[in-house]
Amino acid sequence: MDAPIEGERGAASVLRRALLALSAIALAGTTVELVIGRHWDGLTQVIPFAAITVASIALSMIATARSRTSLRIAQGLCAVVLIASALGVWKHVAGNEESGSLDQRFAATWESTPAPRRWWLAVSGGVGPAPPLAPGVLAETALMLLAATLRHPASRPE
Amino acid sequence: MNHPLQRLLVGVAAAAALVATACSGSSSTPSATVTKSETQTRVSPTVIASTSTTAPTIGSPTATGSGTTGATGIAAVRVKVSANTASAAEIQAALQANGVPNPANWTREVIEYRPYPAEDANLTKLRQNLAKYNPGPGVVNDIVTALKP
Repeated sequence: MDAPIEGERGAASVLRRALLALSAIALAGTTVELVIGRHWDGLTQVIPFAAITVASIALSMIATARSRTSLRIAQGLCAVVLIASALGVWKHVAGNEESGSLDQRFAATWESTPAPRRWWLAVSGGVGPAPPLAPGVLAETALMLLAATLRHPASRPE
Repeated sequence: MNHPLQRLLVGVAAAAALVATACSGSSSTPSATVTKSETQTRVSPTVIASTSTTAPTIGSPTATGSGTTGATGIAAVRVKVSANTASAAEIQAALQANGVPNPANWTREVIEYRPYPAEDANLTKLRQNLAKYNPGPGVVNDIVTALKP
């Protein structure tokens, strides 16, 4: 009976490490992408750097957690990153929608274009300079980190 | 030569030569006139545009200008407002005076990408950022013409 349980724990440990490794890669890649894009014009553009820092702290806490409290704090940090990611998606999409009237293809008709059409263009990348769903990579990373807390050894009752 | 027809031909030839000379001489004169007219046509819109540019920014503490005198004697003042320090209203007024479409929205973008390097009079950073919005031809130039770092 013990062997299968041990095997399951071993597999869970491998998967947890894999999730943490993938999260670290995603955070590093996102940082590089933001730096290349000079994503620091104004306070709101610095938010993703703060979110990456928070996610990195959460990652470290999950990797080294020895108590349920540490895991709870890490999960809370992941929730903060999720919120920041959602805010980023909203800012990108709203910015694209607002800039529709500046695009020479839509300048004359943007104000009279039905709202659903305008928002669809903004969400689908049809108008505006911001990649609409790019901030979602932080949400994905936060979800991977949250997954890494499932059945974590530190979450077991003493 | 004494034949009347011969006299007529000589007369016609002389008249033709005279007309040709007159035409060639007069062709240079209208040419000069056209050039002058074209010059006036080029100058006048500049004066009008420059004069209208000053209107919204008169009294602005950040606005600076240099006075010149156009062909008609009207004072032409080209005013630029600072992309770094001017208020949204001042920038919008300057863009509007420069014929930029959607001046309010473009003003928002100008402010969003602050600050701009003081040594870059061409506002390269602003140009690069505005180009991402796929503006119409000449719009970015019109915006930058109304601004200084």
